[in-house]
Amino acid sequence: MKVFSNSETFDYSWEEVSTANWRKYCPWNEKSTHVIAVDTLSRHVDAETGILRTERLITCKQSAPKWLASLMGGTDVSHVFETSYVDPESKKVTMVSQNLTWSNILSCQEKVVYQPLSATKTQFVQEAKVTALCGGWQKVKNAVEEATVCRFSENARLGKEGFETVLEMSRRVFSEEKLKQKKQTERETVTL
Amino acid sequence: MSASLAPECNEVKERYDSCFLKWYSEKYLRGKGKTDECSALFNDYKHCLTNALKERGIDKMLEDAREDHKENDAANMRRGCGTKSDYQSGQQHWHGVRGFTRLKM
Repeated sequence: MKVFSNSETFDYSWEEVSTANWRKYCPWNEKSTHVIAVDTLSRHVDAETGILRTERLITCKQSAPKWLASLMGGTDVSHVFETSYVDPESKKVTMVSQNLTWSNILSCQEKVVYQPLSATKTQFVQEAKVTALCGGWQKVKNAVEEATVCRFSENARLGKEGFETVLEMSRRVFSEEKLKQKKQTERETVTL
Repeated sequence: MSASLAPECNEVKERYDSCFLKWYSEKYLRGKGKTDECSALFNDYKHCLTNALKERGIDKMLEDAREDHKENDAANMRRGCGTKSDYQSGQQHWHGVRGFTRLKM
């Protein structure tokens, strides 16, 4: 097993980050192009705790190294299942995910947590555990794990860059929306 | 918003996603969001998606993963050990889960 961990700080409030997180892979994000679809499978608010629980299916398309691709059966489209929990009381977003495709040879379990550092800063902590399940030589397993961790770190770097753009755009759209509403209210007051 | 894996579901997905995002930022995060405002839109989207998942054989893959992920609920839903989650008991559902269990049949 190999572990990949990473942490980042975003200069946005937890509310902004947790909202923008739902559209992390929208067209504003030009960096994380490996994610081609995000579908919501189920969603509910827990009556007791107020926690929002969501299940999503994430579809990726990325080219693996040739030797690895042949091991994976030649397909470059893969699916990831993600369960997330938003706790508005403690201001914490937790997302756990695992690979659905190639799960007979590789297990990838990822956990991401977003928590506020201050009123204007949010911390992102990511940890992924990668285990090659294929029988046989340790050398092969190591190579599979290393290639996967390498891709994880590449996607993490691009993911941070892409998400920054989404955050910036979200803030801009939100303030424009607010301004529009304000003008509307003013106009209505004048007419009255 | 991001696309659906099934292009035929993109339109209904877009409508649901917009509704959800508005609810999330304007109500839920402000402690006013316990009611189900987007469920009609979600049902349209789910109906489309369920067929797409079945056609692609993804529904089978999902079953196992969903079982595994139930373990995460104990740690993340602020529940003690041994308490039955509403996920299992089928109560207080907002939307979604019950519809997808139908896939198993």
